[in-house]
Amino acid sequence: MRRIQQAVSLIFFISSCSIMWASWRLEYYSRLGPGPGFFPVWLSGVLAGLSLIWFYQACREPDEPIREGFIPGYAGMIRIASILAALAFMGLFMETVGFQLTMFAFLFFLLVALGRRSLVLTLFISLAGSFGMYYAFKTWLGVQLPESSIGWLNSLGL
Amino acid sequence: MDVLQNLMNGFAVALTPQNLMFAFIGSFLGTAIGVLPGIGPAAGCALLIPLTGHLDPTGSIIMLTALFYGTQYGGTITSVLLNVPGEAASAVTCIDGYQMAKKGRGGVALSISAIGSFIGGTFASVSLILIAGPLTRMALEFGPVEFFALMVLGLSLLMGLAGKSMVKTFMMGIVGLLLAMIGMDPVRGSPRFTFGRMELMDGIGFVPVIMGLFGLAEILENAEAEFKQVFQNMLSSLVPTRQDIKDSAMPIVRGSLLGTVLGLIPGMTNTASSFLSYVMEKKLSKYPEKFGTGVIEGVAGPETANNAHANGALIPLFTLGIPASPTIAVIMGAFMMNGLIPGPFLFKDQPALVWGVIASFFVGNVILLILNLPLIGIWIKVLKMPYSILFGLILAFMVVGVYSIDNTTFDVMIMGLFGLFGYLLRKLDFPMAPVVLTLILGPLMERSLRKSMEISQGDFSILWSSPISAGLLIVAAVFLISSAFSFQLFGRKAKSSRAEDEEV
Repeated sequence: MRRIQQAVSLIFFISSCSIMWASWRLEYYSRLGPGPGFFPVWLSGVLAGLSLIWFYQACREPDEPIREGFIPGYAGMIRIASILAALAFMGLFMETVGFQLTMFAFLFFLLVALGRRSLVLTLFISLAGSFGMYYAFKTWLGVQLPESSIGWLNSLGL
Repeated sequence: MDVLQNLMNGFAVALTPQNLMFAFIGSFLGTAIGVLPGIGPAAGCALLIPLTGHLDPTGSIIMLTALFYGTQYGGTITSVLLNVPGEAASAVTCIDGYQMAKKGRGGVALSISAIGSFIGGTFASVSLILIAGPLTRMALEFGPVEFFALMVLGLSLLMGLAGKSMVKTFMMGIVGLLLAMIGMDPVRGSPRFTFGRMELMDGIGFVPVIMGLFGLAEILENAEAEFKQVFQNMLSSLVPTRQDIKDSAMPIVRGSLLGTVLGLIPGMTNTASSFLSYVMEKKLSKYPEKFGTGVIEGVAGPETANNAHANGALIPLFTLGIPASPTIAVIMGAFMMNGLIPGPFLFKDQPALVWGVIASFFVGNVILLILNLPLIGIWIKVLKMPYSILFGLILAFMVVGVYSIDNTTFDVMIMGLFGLFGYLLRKLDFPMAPVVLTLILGPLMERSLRKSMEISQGDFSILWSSPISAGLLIVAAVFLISSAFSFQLFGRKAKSSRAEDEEV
């Protein structure tokens, strides 16, 4: 565990140093008092200091073996990557393809890849969670969810 | 006597069938919105505003305020059952509420939450009637200097959230403060850390961050293993034991007081109230080490505080016309849409409306209690749904909720990023609560410090020139030092007990 803790503390240290460097480019102080850079400079400085304290603590504490389950198995990593990829897909395509189709693909993919239920149930939940949710939010709650910016998809009401 | 007479007249207005129906609709929708992750009270109230243009002003304000405090009840349900806060103020309830649910005591956690919420909400409503005048006069004396000192005191309470490592707790607190720096500088309006992206000009919204750190991170953690029926042993009696009631009594009393007082302070969110209540309960507990493992005090205190806060936060709006939070600002917008200006003149010009709405708080809290205790069983049954299906639907609601706040997919990406961040840091035992607390308090603290500095032309001595701010700063310093000292002692005890275990 020690190596991991040391590595993460150094990542924090480097990140805080880069924030401090960026903060110095903002106005630090003026005749009216602290400027936009005042707080970020101090905060990143303190974070850098705390990262070094943690690094020091990690060096001093007895090394422990990596906890069981700390690093997920191959299947677990695939599941986690699938969820994050599906969210990225939603973020990237929801405004272009429209909410209904992207959410349908999002739910169908997750339920097939991770849910492992019957195809009929998967289809039903995907349809209800995409087209049904769109209708409910738009009609009953007045929430405008994105429609496709592609002409022919938009003309189909998607 | 005038107050009592006015209140009686208010009840006559609030108890008409039409206004009872509006209170019911508001309470019901509020609970539903609280249950839906990501759709917070502000968004819920905003969604209803277009409807209020067609309604009677008293009825529409009754409905909106009932929706507002109804979300506080509903937000608890998903926090306890799914570890996904329905709204930000319930995030802290996840810590012990979800652990209780895992142990099969989800029903008890929800019952105590509903009872605490009812007591907290009613207490704050009584306070509105009795102490609104003097308390708001005192809050009016708070300038930026006193407000900064108050924020410092609030942040010093971070120490109470320290888990296994005080260093990690502080690091997370500072990460939250740095995140709060993103966007337009609150005083000069110059952009900071926006990387030229328009989406970052308004800063990072705390809902995507909370959804990521608490909701998505939990789903990712569950995804490490094959999805299985996580909640199968959670169904339990809704009836708390005598011990549960005894353990919850004082946290409910303290939560009512804390939430009501903090609700009076403009800018203080009910998320801060619930977090501070949790910290306070942990501090005062005889067994602080058990917090986080499913203790009833960790649910009763924060849930009471956030409801008391929700009702208490209406006091400055009604008496001074000051919106204490974004949601209250939305409600203020509804007042103005109906041609009403909240503030002292409203009591004089529209007594029937004001006292009718105030009386409806009592009615609404009773409706919510009735609505929630029987409905808790239904919500618990939701848990019977296999997690392999439920997680997909939770993710879908999270995407919709996060998107609908600013109508931008950028927030969906932010949620994903913070989900991964939270997942990785949880592995290293970093507490997540400080990030949220400082993300909310950070901008308020910076704004008040910089305004103070502008007043004093850069002279820091202004911070302790006022007796109130000096007092608050001293309390913060005492709290920090005593916490660090007790943490050291506790750490040593833990180490020595571990050493003893090894010797045995």
